[in-house]
Amino acid sequence: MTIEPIYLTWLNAKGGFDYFLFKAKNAYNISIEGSGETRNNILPLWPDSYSPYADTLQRQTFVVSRNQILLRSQHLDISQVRALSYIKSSVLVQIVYTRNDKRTVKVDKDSFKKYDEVDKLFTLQFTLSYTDEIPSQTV
Amino acid sequence: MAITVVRRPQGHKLSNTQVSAEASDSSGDALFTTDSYHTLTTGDYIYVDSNIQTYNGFKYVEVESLTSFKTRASENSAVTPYKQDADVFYRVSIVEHGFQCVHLPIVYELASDLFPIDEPGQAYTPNTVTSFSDNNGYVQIETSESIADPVELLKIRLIGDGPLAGVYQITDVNSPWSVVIDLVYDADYDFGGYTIVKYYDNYTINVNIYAGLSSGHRWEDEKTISLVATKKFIPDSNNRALFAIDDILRGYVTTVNNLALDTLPNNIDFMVEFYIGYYQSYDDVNEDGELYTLTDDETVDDFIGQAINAKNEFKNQYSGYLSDYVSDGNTLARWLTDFERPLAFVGYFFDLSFLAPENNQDIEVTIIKKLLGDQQATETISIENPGRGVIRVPITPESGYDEYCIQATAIGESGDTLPMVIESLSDWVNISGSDTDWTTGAAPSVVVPGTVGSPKSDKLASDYGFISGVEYSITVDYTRTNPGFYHFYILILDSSNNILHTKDDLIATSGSSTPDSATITFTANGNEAKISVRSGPQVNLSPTSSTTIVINSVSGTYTTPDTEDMVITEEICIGIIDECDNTFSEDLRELEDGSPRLLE
Repeated sequence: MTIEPIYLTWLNAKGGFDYFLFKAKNAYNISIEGSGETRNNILPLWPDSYSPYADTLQRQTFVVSRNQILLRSQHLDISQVRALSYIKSSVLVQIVYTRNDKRTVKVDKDSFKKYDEVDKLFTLQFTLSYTDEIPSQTV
Repeated sequence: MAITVVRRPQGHKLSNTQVSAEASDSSGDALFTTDSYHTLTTGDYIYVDSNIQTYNGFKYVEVESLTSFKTRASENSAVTPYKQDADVFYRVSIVEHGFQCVHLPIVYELASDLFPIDEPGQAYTPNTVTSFSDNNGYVQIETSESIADPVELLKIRLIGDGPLAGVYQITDVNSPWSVVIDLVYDADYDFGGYTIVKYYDNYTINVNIYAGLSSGHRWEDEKTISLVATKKFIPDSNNRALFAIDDILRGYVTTVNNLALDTLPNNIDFMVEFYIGYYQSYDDVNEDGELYTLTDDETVDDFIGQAINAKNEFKNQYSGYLSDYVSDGNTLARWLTDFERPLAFVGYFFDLSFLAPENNQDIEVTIIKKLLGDQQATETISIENPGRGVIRVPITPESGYDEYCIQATAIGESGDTLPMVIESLSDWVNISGSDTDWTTGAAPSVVVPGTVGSPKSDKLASDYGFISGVEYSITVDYTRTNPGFYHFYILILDSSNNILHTKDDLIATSGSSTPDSATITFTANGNEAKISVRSGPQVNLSPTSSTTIVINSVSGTYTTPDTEDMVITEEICIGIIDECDNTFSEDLRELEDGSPRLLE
């Protein structure tokens, strides 16, 4: 059991919202989606740019990154798996903290196995990405 | 000259009862015959299932007899043609509604009778070319009948199988049956076999699309219905225009989860109501001889639909209609969830949605709280007139229960008694017949002669929009002179002046200028159209002197019937999970990475 259960809501195809509390342990990742760097021009400040007073030969100019959660469900029955699988096709998925405090997340669009008929208990897992980037400056 | 609506986006919900019938040939139409009385009426919709595709699908019923009927795709469509004898099964539509998915086609079909086929023109006595001649190098035709509104610059169409078939512009008008057209003269032309009709150049069916919340909706000011787009269509070769408006309506549905929306529990972000208006336009020539676009008055269709932020699954019975989610009190609506048994977690916000089918209904949601199958408590959530649409019901899961069973009910209302708005007496009219006419005016009067026989007055009447099922009480104050043995009648008539309800007020006392009054009370059945009065003799007695009746005033009240509570949704049971309980942990086997895995 996780100490940080995640309560999700998602728009279903019928025009209502469904909810589920994910109580299994999750993994928290950071997705680096892009970055840039430049090499310093050492000529103008030569030789200080290469001496013990120098601090770098490269600069990071920007980093685009966002938080991700690898969300895992507790054991489910088959009807719950069927209902929860619609999270993957919903256009609006949110983590609900309180009624008026929600965070919209994007669900990974990888194909996934909904269930296997040989199973008796089922779980689902998928990755949620925050829509906001982790703050950092652009140089 | 008119446009008709052939198809509207109207949904149906089917009865569970399946009836069998046999299809046979009736002068080229498919005639469906049942073994016993089918109890259908013209205007019903059924869903037909058979091995003949032409017979299948939702169909409009046209009753032929107690055991037979024909079908159409819709009221204004052609009768379903006969293909071959077949056994068919059908189910009757028991709910008609306008709820449908905004993410699937919302389709109308309109028909014109003018373009490209001028149906009135062709139905008229065929107009043919009786002779033609050379007019400055162009053809001048003489016709058997006058051409409809022949004016320079307008066009005519020659209908036929030969090479001269086509559209021609009138370049000169000698008379309605003699015009010059823009066809280069050739003495060898053969106009035999052609008919002439007016051609409506640049003919367009214009469709105004209105979207918002319709009049009477509690939240209409938040999303006022208004004209949002105009689409233009040129009819196909069958004079039809088939089109969808869901692309327009999607712009008025907002996919957000706003739990602070002013209108909650009605989630108006997820619904937009709509209707259309339509009119035709085509080229005409004005008084100055210049071409302009003639635009007809708009006809507003009275069907109002509800487009919901939803998309049904492929291969479902109702295509894009949300019939499973609307109710008529007998067949209950499903809740808008993918879960058979949703789970609500103690301490977390939770709601469930359903479709409220009507405006001006208070709704109660009953929550039966259970533990181990036994009812422990009941809670009622009252929703005052939420208005039609998607209703989000917030539910607070509590410790101490393991299941909530939830159902929504529309609350009935007591009937209201309200005054009728009846036309001023000066607007009442005499229905002329073989008896004595009324003198109309602010105080209509009639003098019925005191002759032997059955002298009586004609009817004095006024139109009124009666509503079926409503009780009416109408009082007429009148003055009488020399009453003898006369009767004064209040009559309620249908639109053809047939008498549906009668109040017979015997005037049996003597005297003159005596004020009197009579009151009729009845429950309308839907056929009533007029309030009427008349004076007449008592049966088998002839009056001895003439009698004057003067109508002084007419007033009335109507009482709407009481409505009963009506369950509108199925009962849905949701599991209540307390964060502290270990419903799931018993089955968990956590691996080192914390991931739960199936028990092996």
